[in-house]
Amino acid sequence: MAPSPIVAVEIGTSKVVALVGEMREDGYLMITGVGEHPSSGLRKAQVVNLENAANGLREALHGAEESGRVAIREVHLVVSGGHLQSMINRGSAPVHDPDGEITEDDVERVMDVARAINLPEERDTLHTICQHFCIDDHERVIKPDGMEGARLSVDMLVVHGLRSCIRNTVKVVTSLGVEVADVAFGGLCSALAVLTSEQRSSGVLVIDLGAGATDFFAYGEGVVMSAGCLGVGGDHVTNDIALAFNIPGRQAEQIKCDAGDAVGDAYNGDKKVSLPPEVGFPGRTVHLKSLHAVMNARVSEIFEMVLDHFVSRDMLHHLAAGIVLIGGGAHMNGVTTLAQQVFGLPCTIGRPRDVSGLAVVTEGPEYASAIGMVQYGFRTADVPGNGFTEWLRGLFGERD
Amino acid sequence: MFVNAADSEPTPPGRMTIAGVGGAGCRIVARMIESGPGGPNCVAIDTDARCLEASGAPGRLQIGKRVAKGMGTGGDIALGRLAASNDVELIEAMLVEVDLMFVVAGLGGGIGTGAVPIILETARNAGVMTLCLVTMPFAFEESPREETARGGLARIQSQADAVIALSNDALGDWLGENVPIEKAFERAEEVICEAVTAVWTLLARPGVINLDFADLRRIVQNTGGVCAYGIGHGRGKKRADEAVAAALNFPLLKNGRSLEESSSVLVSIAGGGTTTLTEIRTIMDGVKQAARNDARIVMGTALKDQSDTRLSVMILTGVQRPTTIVHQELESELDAETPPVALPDDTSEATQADLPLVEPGRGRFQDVEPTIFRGEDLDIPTYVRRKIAIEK
Repeated sequence: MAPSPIVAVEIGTSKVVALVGEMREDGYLMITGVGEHPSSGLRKAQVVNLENAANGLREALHGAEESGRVAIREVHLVVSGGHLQSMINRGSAPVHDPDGEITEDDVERVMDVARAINLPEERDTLHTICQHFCIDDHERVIKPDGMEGARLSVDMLVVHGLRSCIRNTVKVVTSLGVEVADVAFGGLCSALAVLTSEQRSSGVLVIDLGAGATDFFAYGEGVVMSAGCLGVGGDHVTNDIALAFNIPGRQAEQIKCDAGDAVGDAYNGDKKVSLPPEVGFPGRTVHLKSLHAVMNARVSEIFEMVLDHFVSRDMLHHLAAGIVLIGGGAHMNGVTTLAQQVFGLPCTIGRPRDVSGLAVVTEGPEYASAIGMVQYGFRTADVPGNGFTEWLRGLFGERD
Repeated sequence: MFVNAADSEPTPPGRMTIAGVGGAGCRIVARMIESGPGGPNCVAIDTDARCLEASGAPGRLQIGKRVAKGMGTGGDIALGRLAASNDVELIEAMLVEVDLMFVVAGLGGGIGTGAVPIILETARNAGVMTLCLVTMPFAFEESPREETARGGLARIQSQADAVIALSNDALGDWLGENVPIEKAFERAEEVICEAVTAVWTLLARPGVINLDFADLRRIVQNTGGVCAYGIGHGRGKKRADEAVAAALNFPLLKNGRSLEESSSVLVSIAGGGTTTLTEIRTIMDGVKQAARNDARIVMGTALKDQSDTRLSVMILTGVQRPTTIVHQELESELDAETPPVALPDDTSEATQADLPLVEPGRGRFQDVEPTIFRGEDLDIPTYVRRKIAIEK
């Protein structure tokens, strides 16, 4: 019997999305319902006005219920925000067997040790992801079961965030009488949705350029290497434009989308773009070169901050497959060129893979995290022979 | 070309209070009070009870009694912030009947960097306009102090209506190599005291040509950095030439070089009521020569005591590059007079189709907790913080 549908919800800064997904018999994912609504009540991916956020969510859920022909009682929730960080914790324990053979029990035990970290009071763990095992001095072990040694260690990547921020996002959902089954980091979900196994094994960095925040999630040396989030996003680009040219936010957003470019063309010369007058706005022309300069400054800065995260941890050289960009910001002209300039690595736009259904959803980079959340939600589904869900469970040390 | 500020309807000076915050601020207030009565209304704010007492200010506010216990913060910014947050009501009480608060502080310490932004925020919430004059620490002070001073400056710039930031180092260069440290600090405070007095005189004792707070604000707004400032005095027959030459050669004006980089300049001419038209012309010619051709020069006069026969010239600019970020076109003088439009709060956003014109500053992130990264407020546009020139 097929597992019941899963509803993924992402309450973003610019839009709220609810997706209904079903797992087909062959193990592939199908998006059967979608609801979307502009978001208000969030700044930088965090809730600042509960009521407004809930209103947006209500509309999105209605849309998903109608198009998916389901009643939604419970959802899986994507979270983001600059407070989210990752750290690596090593746990170790002696091997029980006097002859040194490593059993499943040993592995479970050492994973539990690695999970038990001391976070500051106000922070909660969101994910604990297995990296490499280490047997005595032998590092980079993938599957220690059946091997021999005296001491077993494991590195766990712990993704954590401020409890209050996470709870507030959950509250938006529960205030509508809907339950939250599970919570996951947006960057992780995005990575699930868009990456191939080749990319994961070569090493790759996914950057989700959202309106409120920029999530990033990286694989290196065959495991999840690092993750994090910056409290700056597309809204900052819009805001910079609004302040630079003294125009309202809505017009700034419009020229950003219509005429914007993260790099800019040297041949633009004196070209201008004009904004027609409207009620409360006298109209304005803006130099294209200036518009692009403002955007370039901000987007470069965002990329440089992500770059710095990996350079300072000496991880950059592991990203052989380069950068994959998703999120609304991936639509920006020249954004992949700019990423290539900043990181010195190849860069492509990510699109959801192995998922079918409404084309606009399944092919758009801005739905990647919601789709990834559906996939994440199905990881505990019992679908025999589905390598993906098995792999996913292994990632979180959830063994069969 | 210069614009006569009197063309626009001047705002009355209103009730202004000078608030010296922290050790340096209290010492500066003490100097101003020493120079005799008839000066500005001063208050001193600090956690350190002794500093407050030594200031001799008529109004004294000891903040953070519980957390700092009457002592200084010892450079602890979190303590400074906590002290101010705990006593917001006391600060509010002090601001009753005040229209403009002029905060003076040295950045880098606990109070300057920690408490000043809170004080400014409290004032803003109470509807009081704020002008902030701060000093950036000498480079020889420990480097964490420099970094925290920059972070504090960013926060202050996001809270205050206008910020004049002066660099102790620029002054130090002029003092020379063999000056003992105490002397260096003393001289810096003298200069700051003079600057505060000059700005206060301009705003509180306007002469026939009136410069108001809005003009001042426009000049120093959005510099994203440190200001250039010069002051000069003259006596006797050639006092106008003397004063303007001295002002242009002032170390904080980089000996006049800062004028080459600025697109807007404020000149204040203060005399005892005997300033002549010729003298004003002399001074303005001097300034125009040193400034850029397309610079916007705003001039106002101020009245000193009749007994004071000196003529003083103060020059203030934002430190900016050519083709810069000045938001108002020269034709839109009228626009400049409209008060800043308040950003709608979130509940009205859902119903409004248009966001109103945003005042330069933090725009959409006006009422949101700033994202601070390495001492920079990321909500302030990147092109501003990196001083990238934008053609409008």
